Amino acid sequence: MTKIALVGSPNVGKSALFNQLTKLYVSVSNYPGTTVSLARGTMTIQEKLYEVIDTPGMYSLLPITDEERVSRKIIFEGNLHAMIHVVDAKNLERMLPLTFQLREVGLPLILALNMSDEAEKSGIEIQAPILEKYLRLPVIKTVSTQGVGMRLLKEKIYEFAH
Amino acid sequence: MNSHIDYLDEPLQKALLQIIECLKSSYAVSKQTLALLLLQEDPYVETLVQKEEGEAYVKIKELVQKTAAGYSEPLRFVITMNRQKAVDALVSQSVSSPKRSSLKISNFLSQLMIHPLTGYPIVALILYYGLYQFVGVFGSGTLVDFIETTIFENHINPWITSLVQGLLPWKVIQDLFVGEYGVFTLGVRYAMAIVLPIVGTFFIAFSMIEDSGYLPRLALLLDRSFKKIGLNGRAVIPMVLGLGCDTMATMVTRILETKREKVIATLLLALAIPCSAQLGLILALLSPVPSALFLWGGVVIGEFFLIGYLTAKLLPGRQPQFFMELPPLRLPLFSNVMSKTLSRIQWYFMEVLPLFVIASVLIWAGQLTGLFGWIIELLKPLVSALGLPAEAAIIILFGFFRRDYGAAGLFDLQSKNLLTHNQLAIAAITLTLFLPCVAQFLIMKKERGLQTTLLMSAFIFAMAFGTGFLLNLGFNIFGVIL
Amino acid sequence: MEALSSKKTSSLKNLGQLSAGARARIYALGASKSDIQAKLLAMGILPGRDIHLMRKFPSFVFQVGNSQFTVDREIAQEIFVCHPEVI
Repeated sequence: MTKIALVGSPNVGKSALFNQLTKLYVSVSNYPGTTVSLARGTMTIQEKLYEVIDTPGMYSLLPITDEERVSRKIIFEGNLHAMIHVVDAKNLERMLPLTFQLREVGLPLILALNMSDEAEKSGIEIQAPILEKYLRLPVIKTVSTQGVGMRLLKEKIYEFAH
Repeated sequence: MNSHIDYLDEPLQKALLQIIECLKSSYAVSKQTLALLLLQEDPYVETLVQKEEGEAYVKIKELVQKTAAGYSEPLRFVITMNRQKAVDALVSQSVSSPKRSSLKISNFLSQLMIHPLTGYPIVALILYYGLYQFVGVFGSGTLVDFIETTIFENHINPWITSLVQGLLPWKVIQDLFVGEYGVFTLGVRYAMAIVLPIVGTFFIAFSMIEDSGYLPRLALLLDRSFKKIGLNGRAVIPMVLGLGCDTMATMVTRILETKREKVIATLLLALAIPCSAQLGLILALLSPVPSALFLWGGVVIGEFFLIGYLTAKLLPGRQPQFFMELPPLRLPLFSNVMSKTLSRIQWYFMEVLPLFVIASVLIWAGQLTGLFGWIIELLKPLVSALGLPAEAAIIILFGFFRRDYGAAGLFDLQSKNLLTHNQLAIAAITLTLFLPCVAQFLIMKKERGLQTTLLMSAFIFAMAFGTGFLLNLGFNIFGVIL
Repeated sequence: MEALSSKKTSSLKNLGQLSAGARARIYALGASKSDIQAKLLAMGILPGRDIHLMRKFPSFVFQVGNSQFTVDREIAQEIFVCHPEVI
């Protein structure tokens, strides 16, 4: 099964995005040998089955807490086929350093600018094509609480995760 | 999707390429990432690369040290700043934002929550509506009554009782399942009809508070006080959770950074934080006698801070740091609240419920063998030292197996008018302070180890009875009648 | 813009010394406590960023960019600032 992981710092709406993608079957269990719990679920895109892992919040690839260590272990050892970096669109200067780190890892990466509705309401305008061009990865505006951007996200997952 | 790292300054760039050269083995992760982490002296990557490259690792280590020597700040800092410069350039090209963000209502509410004058009253409000009204009145009152009376007593209990009595001819075995303390009649029924609605409503309330972003604000209000007991603001999370289920809260102490904090938090949870099952019953028991209620509240909270303070003084270690992100306040999202609540209830069913069934079996065995009667005889003198009637010994014993059994037993005594107000207060306080329930004891053993757990339990036992004894003494000496 | 040695930072003000409501620019992060510096780095609380100290009691609350944080005095004292202005 194609495995993808949701990665990102806490408070960016990662869980809501996870719920949007996996909708039905979700299991919560500890990462083996640790006390950190992970949510795993499945989703189907065009009849292809994917396993989705919601990693604990991570601020950088240099971990400080046990949670971050587990998130990084999943990226480094988890045999992932792709990652989705979920970020808070209102705080890109704080979020993009991790995007930079993640794109260096060598796995297909998709950037989800979550809470983009809040960003717009605050008057923040983001030119996703410019980000795409510089970062050379798909950039999708999402609102996980409302399901905005999910279809496009799933298209990109289907396209890029093998 | 592979990309070159192009934001480092020249010396770092050079060092990076040299390190990549040295990585001869094949890795699941790109060599650039590994090299960058090696420069920042990450222990996990260092161990990994040392294992793979063997002797060549020495050269890598030298490169890192040589590079680090060329800077006055740690490489981690330099690399972060290099990267940030590139990020800022990208953001300036792709993002435009207004000068000052508009003041939103959620921002105003946030201000109210963290200002001392309004913040603490808000905590009281949330405790009242969230805990007392929702979990207490609705959960442990309305819901429990409904499930217990309507569903169980009227339908399920009689059906199961006749089923078991029909299938198993021996009364002894029948008792195991449907007797007074049977696995089903008390164990399962208690779990589903009493504990589940109470704990379930608590988890719903907690998940809503958690999802709204309130917890960091509560944490910052309490950080200073918590520092006096060796903890920091982050400990609010297990402490508040303990009001729902101490067993789960003990597990959640994992989020605390140092061992010292975990030990202090575990001790305080076991000693002075009543779980919702116990809390509901005790509040119902004591509210007709307000003086007893306030005494109970005062003594329990007082011991919480006193023991916390003393333990912090006793245990060596430095004061923990407090650092939390304050996310904007949001309306809790239904899907989040439901998924968190459901996963917690699922955990409860799998981890705690079986222990309650075992508790029922143990009680049955204890009664059968006469072991219980023997222990109760031993407890009687202790109990009368507290000024309590002999029947209270049963409550204490059962209170260990299930905190709510103890409280329920207390309820029984009270309804038979066997207790004076003084005795009621003492019994309630002693029971609250008394040992954690079986489930919590086992989790404590898992998290803190057997030795620490036994030490804590002995201490708690002494504190519970000691407090009861002193109260009784005080009442008698000063002629206090509640 | 660097993490300075304790000799230099003693001449700068840290967040703990500002009054509530002050706005300033982060100039340096303390180097004496590496675990605090690591947290600040990971959170993006970096030299060059504007910082707005919102309150000090009961705990420090400040804003950097569009994010708010709460810390205790020990951590606040590791954030060194320049150009403080009180609004």
